[in-house]
Amino acid sequence: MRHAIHSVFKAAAEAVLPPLSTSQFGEKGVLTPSEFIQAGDFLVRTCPTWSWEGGDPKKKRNFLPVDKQYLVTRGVPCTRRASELETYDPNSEFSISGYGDEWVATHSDPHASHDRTEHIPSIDDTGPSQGGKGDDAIPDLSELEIQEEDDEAALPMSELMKTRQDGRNIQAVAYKTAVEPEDTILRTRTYDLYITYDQYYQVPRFWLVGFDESRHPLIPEQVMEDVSEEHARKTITVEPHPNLLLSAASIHPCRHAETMKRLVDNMLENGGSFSVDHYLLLFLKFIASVVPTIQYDYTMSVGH
Amino acid sequence: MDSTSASHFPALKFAPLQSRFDVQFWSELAERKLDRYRLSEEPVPLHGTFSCSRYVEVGSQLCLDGGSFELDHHCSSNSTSSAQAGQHLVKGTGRLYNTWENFRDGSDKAELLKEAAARVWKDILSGETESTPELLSQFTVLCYADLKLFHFNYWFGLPALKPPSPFLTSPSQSLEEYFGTDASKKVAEACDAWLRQSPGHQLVEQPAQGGESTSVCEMAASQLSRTDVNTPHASPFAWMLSYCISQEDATLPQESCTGLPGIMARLACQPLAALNQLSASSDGSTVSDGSTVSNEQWMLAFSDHSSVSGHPGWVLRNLLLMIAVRYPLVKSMKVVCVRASKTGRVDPSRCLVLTVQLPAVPDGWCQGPGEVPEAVGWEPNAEGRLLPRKVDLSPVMSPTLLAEQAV
Repeated sequence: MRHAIHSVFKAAAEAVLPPLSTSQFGEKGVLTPSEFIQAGDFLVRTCPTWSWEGGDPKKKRNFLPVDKQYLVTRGVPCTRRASELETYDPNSEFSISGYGDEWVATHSDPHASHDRTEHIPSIDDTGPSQGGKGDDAIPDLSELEIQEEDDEAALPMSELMKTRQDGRNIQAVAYKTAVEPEDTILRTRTYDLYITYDQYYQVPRFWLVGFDESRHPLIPEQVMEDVSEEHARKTITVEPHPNLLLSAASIHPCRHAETMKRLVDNMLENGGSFSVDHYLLLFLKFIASVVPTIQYDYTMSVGH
Repeated sequence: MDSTSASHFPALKFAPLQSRFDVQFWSELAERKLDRYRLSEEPVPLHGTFSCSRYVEVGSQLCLDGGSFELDHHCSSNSTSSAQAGQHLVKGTGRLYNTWENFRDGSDKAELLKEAAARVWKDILSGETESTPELLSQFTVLCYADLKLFHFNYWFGLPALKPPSPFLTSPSQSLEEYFGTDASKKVAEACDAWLRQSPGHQLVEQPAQGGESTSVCEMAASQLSRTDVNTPHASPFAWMLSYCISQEDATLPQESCTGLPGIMARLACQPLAALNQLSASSDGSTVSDGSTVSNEQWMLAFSDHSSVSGHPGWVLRNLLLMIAVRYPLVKSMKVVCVRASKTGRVDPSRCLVLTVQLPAVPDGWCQGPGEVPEAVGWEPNAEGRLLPRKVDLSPVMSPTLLAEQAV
């Protein structure tokens, strides 16, 4: 409920208040829209998997260029659920160790989301496109099966979807599903990751849109499985995406500015330099601690 | 390569290009079905994009999103997908049925795939696919949307035409193994530059490693008339790579197992239409008439969506068939399957080099009126059967559920 009220307040405030116009990233860790564009351009140049998009024209934000409304990288694999990370230690996250507790706390009620996560059905029983199975509306599906000519040049689907735990593809030779132990087969999800600009908090905001191994969209609750447990219950909220017509899981930006300020200060203390160009690179390193299993590239060096 | 040794080569297998429809696509479809198409079941033009494979774990997919309907307005309006380097366009047709019964019985599925295949075949025979390689892949999607329940049923097909006999291949090598470390880096840089050329996109100069000049990446972008591409998307998914081994370098220590010197004199990426330059040579690789410029080598390069080791992506199938049909003198072709690392840059250790034996295509094969080579390519469902897929988007699209979520 607090969350709903806050959303309304935030929307009202955004409608009335002008976007930030003077640079304050040094003092407060926030960005102006033009600095967001500058940092985004740098990210796109440095790491070509990211690109700008314009999104739904009806949802255009006027303070950003029409073709640079948000950043996106698509089809990023995620082979393990965050809870399976054996070596995961919340205190070892990136360089903000010790600050972790401070920035993750938000207004969302941890107990409420806790209850919800426990009822998440496993991917096996939500499998969407299992044609015909238990679907009353569509009774005679299997009659539809197309008899296509044998195609000796096509690699069977089963060989595409299976990856070994070490991340390497199983060689496409005489693969026997029955003998393969279940735990060496990974269910590789893919993610589209978005970075938008949050006008109210004046920081970038990170969104996760996921797909399961058969490329069916994940519901936001399933996305929680790929967020480190520490954050899943506190910092991730499901909200309408500002540029797209859907609700998606997002890392709530209320503490981003503080965290970014701290990261920049750390870097300066250690004798580095920092320009606003590098803001998003640093931001992505920080995000990597929240979504430890999503394999996007956050290894670019920052601040040299 | 004589025919006896060729027969020992295994048939080349291709990893299908998987379709991926995002929630935006379905919500746009729902809106259009209600407001624009209404009861019309006429085919609508669609498009999707793919990139070369960037991750070891999973191949790149053909993404269809909210902008997939907006092809005609791409250049002028602010639609979803603006010019993007490294993305390749695949066009297709969507049929949006009004009822489940029409979806199920309304059309002959085999006939629909054949229609799509016939378009590709026509463009191959006319030579059009050489100037506009994207025409080699043309998909068909059948949809039935239950807009009350937010259930979407669909069937995706990307036709691959079957050659008279299979493509045979030698065991693959990585680009790095094939050319050696230094030369493969240069090839990767050249491919990167090709992939990232795009109107309005700034080409970024990477600092050359070890002070080498990067000027070898001779760009042929200017040769490519923009009107040919007719979309703001980046470069075509297939291109030709040419290089010379300079005479003076021939004495250098040989770095790779294939005996190529580690340093190449001239390296260029050229539009696919450059294929016509190699019809003079019989194997598509070397012309040896003794002159100084004669040792030019040609390779076919394409943006490979497959991440499977040793197996190139589906989009290569029609491309190879096109070469076999249009350039019957070319008996074998060196193919570079261009793949990137997760930074998005071409990675020489992931790129494959294949030597593909092209089948002999008899004169006039499948060229009679109405004749089309057999086509395959309906996408199986999650269980691997040739059945439609279904997406239930009520959790993200149903207004009632969304209203509950908001509180």
